[in-house]
Amino acid sequence: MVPMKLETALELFGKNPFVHALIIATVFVYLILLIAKPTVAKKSAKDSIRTLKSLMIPIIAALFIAGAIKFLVPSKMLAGFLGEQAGIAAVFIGVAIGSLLPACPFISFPIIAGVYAAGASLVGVMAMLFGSGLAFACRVTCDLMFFNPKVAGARMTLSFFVAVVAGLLVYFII
Amino acid sequence: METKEKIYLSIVIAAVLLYLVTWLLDPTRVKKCVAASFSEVKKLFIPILAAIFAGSVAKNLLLGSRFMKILGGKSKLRGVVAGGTLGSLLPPCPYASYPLIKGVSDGGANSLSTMAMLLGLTSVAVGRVFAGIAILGPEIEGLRILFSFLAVMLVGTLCFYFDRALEVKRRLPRVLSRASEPK
Repeated sequence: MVPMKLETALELFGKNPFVHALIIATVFVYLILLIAKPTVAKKSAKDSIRTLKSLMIPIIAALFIAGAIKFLVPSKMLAGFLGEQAGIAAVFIGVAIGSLLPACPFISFPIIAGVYAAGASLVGVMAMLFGSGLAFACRVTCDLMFFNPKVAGARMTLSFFVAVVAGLLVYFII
Repeated sequence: METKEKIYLSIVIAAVLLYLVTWLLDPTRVKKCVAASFSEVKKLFIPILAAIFAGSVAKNLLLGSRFMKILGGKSKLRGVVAGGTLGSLLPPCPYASYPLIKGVSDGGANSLSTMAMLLGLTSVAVGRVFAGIAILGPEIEGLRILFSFLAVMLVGTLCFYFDRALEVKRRLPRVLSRASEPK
């Protein structure tokens, strides 16, 4: 029973060690600031609560979109578009499909692995990986919530460009 | 209603519409989607909380620091390299990273450094390595890191020269008019 409870508790912290490091570092910094610079700690906490109040509902809505995507993506149909016969078009199709997948690798990578297993070419799969999450609701909503539409547009255009260049490099080199 | 509030409302409406359409087309699938979404919320609640607190503290601590002088300074190339590296090392989940980037941006980073952080996070995302190795294998993950890094360097260099060409174009009429002035 105890290991089960521990597992459930650990689930609350996600699977990514980078996220764990962020959580530990945040707690550590606040603890040190509470002793060394309590005014900075209080101001930061107040700022955070203000941000949380304004963003909590849209964040939950975006997470509900992310949760639904997992069950709405038809892997077999996508593999048909990304087979060996697609040639260089697989790069563009892969980036376009990948861009609509969730930014979280623990959601998008199993979908991409499913498409690979269903018969997609390596170029198509790599293009999907390069494009994964570029224009997904979570990332675009974060662009809009934390910055503005101009930043969202510039970020998406440049990252699409990077993903296509990376896909073309794979196509011509491998 | 402010633009930000309109954006927030449209996100909520998009989620409701997605579920309504799914329910109309395949009601059994909605249950799975809701269960997966609750698991997402449960899994990401603490990381999001930590990121928002980290973002605020980063903003308040970095104001006027040496690191901000690099990200907000006149040397665009140094700012872009520092911003891109920092962005690549942040957690891949946008909810965990954007509050931090926003904090650094509010702390004084210029727009190019901020964009480099966002691009590094989107395109390289070293934090995806663990998921990549576990789900797709080390070969594919190695290729992803290698080629996305190469592409970021290529596109970054192109942007740098494009920005410099624009700067030259902006300054050229002034330089020409100064040169044509009688001494």
